This record gives sequence, C-alpha cells and structure tokens, in this order.
Amino acid sequence: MMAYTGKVLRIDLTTGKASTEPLNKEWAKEYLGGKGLSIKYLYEELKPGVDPLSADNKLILMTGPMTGTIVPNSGKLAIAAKSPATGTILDCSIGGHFANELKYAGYDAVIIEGKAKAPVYLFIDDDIVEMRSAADLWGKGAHETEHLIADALGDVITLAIGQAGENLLPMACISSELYRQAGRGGIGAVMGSKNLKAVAVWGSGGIEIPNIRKVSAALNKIKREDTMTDDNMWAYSDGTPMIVDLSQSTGILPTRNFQEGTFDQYKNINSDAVKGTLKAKKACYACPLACSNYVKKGKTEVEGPEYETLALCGSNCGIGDLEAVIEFNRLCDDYCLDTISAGNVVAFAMELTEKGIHDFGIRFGDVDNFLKMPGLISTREGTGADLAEGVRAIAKKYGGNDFAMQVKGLEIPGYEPRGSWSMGLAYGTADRGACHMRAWPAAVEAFGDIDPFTSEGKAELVIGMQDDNAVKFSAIFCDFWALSTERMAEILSMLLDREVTAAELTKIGERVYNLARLFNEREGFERKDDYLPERIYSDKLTTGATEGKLLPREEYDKMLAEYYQLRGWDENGIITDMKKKELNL
Amino acid sequence: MQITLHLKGPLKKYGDNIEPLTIELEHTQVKLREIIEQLEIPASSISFIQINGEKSDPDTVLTGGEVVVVNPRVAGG
Ligand code: SF4
Repeated sequence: MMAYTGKVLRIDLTTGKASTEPLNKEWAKEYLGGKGLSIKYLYEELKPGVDPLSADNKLILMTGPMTGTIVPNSGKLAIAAKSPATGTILDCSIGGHFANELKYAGYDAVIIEGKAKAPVYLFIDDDIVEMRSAADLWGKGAHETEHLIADALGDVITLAIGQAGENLLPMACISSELYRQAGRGGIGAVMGSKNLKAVAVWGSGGIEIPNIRKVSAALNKIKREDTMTDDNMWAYSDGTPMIVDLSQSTGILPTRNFQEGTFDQYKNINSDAVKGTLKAKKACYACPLACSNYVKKGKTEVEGPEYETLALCGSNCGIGDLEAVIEFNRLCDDYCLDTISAGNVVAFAMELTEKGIHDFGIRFGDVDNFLKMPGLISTREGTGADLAEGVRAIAKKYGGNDFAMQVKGLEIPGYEPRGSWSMGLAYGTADRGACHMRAWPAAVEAFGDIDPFTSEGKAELVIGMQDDNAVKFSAIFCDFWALSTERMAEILSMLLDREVTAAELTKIGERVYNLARLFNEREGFERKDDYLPERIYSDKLTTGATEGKLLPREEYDKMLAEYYQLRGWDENGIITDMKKKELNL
Repeated sequence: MQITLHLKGPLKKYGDNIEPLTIELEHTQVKLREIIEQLEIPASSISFIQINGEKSDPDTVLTGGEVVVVNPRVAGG
C-alpha cells in the first residue's frame, strides 16, 4: 500500500504488552485515515454504552496517507476516542510534528487500550516500544512534562496531558510541542483515565512514494500555485486573530456569554493588537502557511492566542486586556484545558454571578479572578470544583439552562448563531457537539455573499461543508488550506499510485460523516440532541450588525428537517437502511 | 475627494503594503468596485467589504470621507 506503512501498533496498558498488526486495507480504502479510519476502528471495537473514562474506551492516534510526505499542510494527527464530555464519538486534530515522527517510526496508527496500574508514559522508538513510569511526572503541567521527557529521551516529539487530564475533566485536552492541542471533548481525560501521562515518539524510517521526482515537482508546483495564494496567505499574514474584526463587524463575536455579538473593546484583542506582540511565526510539519503566532506580552510568551481563545476567553468573558488573555491561554495550555470550553465555563459563571443565580465570585471583565480560573478548574479546587464539570453540569446544579451555551454537552465556539444561521445548524448537527470544524459556513455566509438571516439553502450548504471537511480530516489536510476536492484527488492519486476521483472522495466524506452519526445513534443520540440553547431562539441581540436578531426556533426546525431529508435520514435524525446500504455502513 | 482604504491580510500587497491607504479621487462619485479594479485586487480574493463599519456591496457609490475595509477570504475557522 503506497504511502501507508501498513502497520498498526496496539498497546494494552493493562498488561503492558505492545503488538503490531496489519492496517485494515479495506477500511483504509473506504475511510482513508485520520478522522474516518479512527472512527471506523472505534465503531468496530468499542462496545455500545462503554464508559468513556473506563479501561474499555480506546484512544487512537491516526495518521493519514500523506503524513510525513512533503504534501503541503499534511502534518496533523487525528486523536480519537469516545468523548467523556458528550458520550459521542470524538476525533480531534493536532498539529506539530508528532504525526510524521509516528509514521517514520513505522506506524499508521497506535491503538491504546486498557489502563495502567500506575502512571506511565510510552516511548515509541521505531520497533522498540517501552512503557515507563510517570510517577515523577504525574501532577505536573504539560510544559514541564515535555521538558522532562526531552531531558530523559533527547530528540523526541511528545503528546502529554496536564493536571486537567489527570483529574478527568471533560474539557481536558492533549498538548504537543507546548502549544499545539487536541482540544475538544475531553480527549485529555481519556488519556488520564488510562494513567497515561504522555506518548513520546522518534522515528528513523521513511515512506514509500511512487515516482518521487515527478511527485515532488508536481507538489512544489501545487504549493506555489494553490497553497501560497491570496486565499490562504491570511494564515501567514495574520493567522486566526484576523477573524476578530470579521466577527465584530458582522455582529457574531460572542460577548459576555453570548449576550451580545459585538465587543466594545475588540480592538484590544484583534489581529493588529496580537501582531504588536509577535515574536515569530511557527508552522506544523510540511506547512508553508505557518499560521501560528509566537507572541510575548509582559512576562508571558505563548504560541497563540488563536481566534477561538480571543473570542471565548476575551470578548465572551468581557476581558479586553490582551496580556490577560495571553496569560490565560498559557495557563490553559500548561494545565491542558480546552480554551473554548474554559472560556465558556468562566463566562457562564460570570453571568450566573451577575444575575444572582449563584455566586462564583467572578464578574465580566474581572481580570484578577479570571486568571485564577485555569488553575482552580484544572485542580478542582474551590469554585473550580463545580466549573470543572462544564457548562451543562453547572446549569443542572445551579440553573441558567437557557443560557448554558452548549450542544450535546460541548461548549459553543466563537461564532454567534443568531448572526449566522448556518453556524447554528452546523453546531446542532456536528458529530462531537457544538463544533466549528465540522463545517464553517460563516466564511461564506456572515463573511461572504450569502444572507445569514434565512434558512433557505442552509442545509445543503452545511452538508456540503461537513462532507468536505470529513474527507479533508480523513486524508489529513489542514483545514486552513482552502483546497478543492479535485485538488485533493489529484494529490492522493499521485501518492497512492491509483486513480482517486473527486466523486470518490465526496462519497468517502459522506460515509465518514454518516459513520460518526451511526456511532452516536448507537449511543442513543437523536433529533432532540441536535438543538441549540434557548437563548439563541428567544433572546434578541442588541448591538451592531445583528441588533434585533435571533434564530427563530421554527426556522431552525425547518433547516433541521431539510438537513435530515437531504442526508437520507428519517425525521428523527436516524440514518435510513437505504442510506446505510448506499454507503456500505 | 478622499477615502481611507484598509486592505487586510494578504490583500495589503495590492496597496504596496501600506495600511491605511489614503486615496484621492478626481470625481465626486466613484463606485468602490472601480477602485478595487484599479488596484488589481482579484474579486475572488475578497470575502467582504465594510464601508464605515457596515458590511457593504462593492457597487456602493463613494462620495468622499468613507473608511473602507477590504477583507480577504479565510478558511478553516
Ligand atoms: S496552517 Fe497552521 S495549523 Fe495548519 S498545518 Fe499550517 S501551521 Fe499547522
């Protein structure tokens, strides 16, 4: 199998045994790799109803067919498991250099199962796989952990968890190279539940590519003509902070727990402000776009903050102090907290406090207490004990359910659905709860030519993007490269040494998205779980371009019904037998 | 008449990397589209335009004094 190593490493933490097995070729053809293939393995291997924090859940690290090659923007890794935050399928994407090292070590994937008796970390050094004690690392942040592992092992790339993962928080993430995160759904808690502190890898092998000279020349041409172009170079010139101004001007910048869509202090946290702190640009493996900003403000240095952090931990918390947002970002990265969920949780606590529902001792714009939150939440101390469980659990205990901004238990990212109705549908139907990476229609709707305030045509728009992204995350192209399905097919044809068509890829995308839905269906999810918080349907926004706007429930229902119908699902959102047969599910 | 033009991100290069650009116009009424064409900014590279903070159409007629922001396309989210 060209481009794949054809080998899966399976590690049982309960017994301490590692073994290898061939990659399932049939599945690789139908699901490619990354998101799709890891979901396929989980669907086949996990028992329905498995407790996400039990030894029976599995953690899969999955590369793609292009990982480790010079294909632009192919350096990411998929990490998947059943989510402790939502109970749905969960796949995350992490950048950096872990994926290529894993491939060079000789593996397309690692499947980690069971639970170690005491804290351990794994060292994968080509054929040698060691389980080492992490007794000295447990209780430490991800940053120190990575440094200590590098001291012990030398040149390795590491995935690590911080205290949030050890303490099994549903918003715990996995970190790599200090500032890269597999962020959402509590993937770090799955690692913590297995007593697994880190995975370090070093590989000395290579990847078999057909006609290497011809392929290299073709890829370099593609890089020049289709990657480093106006459509993509925003990533280099600004990176995601650029979106602050776009969201502000279109009224979709979440502000004070989604009470407003504009922030009076947005200029303090926008791209120009971030650029004022820029020290260097950084990139994942094989990426010419280098979207990442390495910044320094005051005493704090961090790679970031990305748009999501600026929106959820900045405007959404009423914090217009860039230094505070950068420091919050650094703390979250070290404790391994997802900044989208953490920002939402803190904002929710602020609103509950201000409304007199429960006093968490923090109000919008309160920088001092804001900066204490990552530590308190990650260690479950003081008010952090309640906040650690996420917005849905806080609302269950104290109230405020109508403005608990989550879907399926996952907190909402940085695009206000009342000013981008298609984003509402994208959140409602995303496979891992409220997620902007399954489809990001705001780009062509709120930020483009499509009317954001109509339900017309939105189902088709969202489905197209979801399937497109499903194949992108399965082949593993970074989503910041706006490449067409035809271009993906051209590249995969070269690498796999067989003809891959755009139509085949579109079908794979649809198959992957449906398999994720099928996984969730098996866990009991259905139409009732595809709804947004009440605030979106009934509280009008009062400022900026979205003044007076909401997303009426009947319009949302209309979009959802059309979405199910176009997907070939029944009115309850259940995949029909005909669709399953069509997609070979 | 004069307008202030902000070309954002990779579009800055179409204004010699100067931001903001102050543009002097001979006529009193000019369509924004004409300015964009003069600067040779491909329409396909633009996501949306703001005039005085409001999302606007490129066919809007400018009368002087406007602050115009031209945003690039973005992907991914
Ligand atoms: S664009 Fe950014 S996230 Fe994507 S591969 Fe490049 S550096 Fe990594």
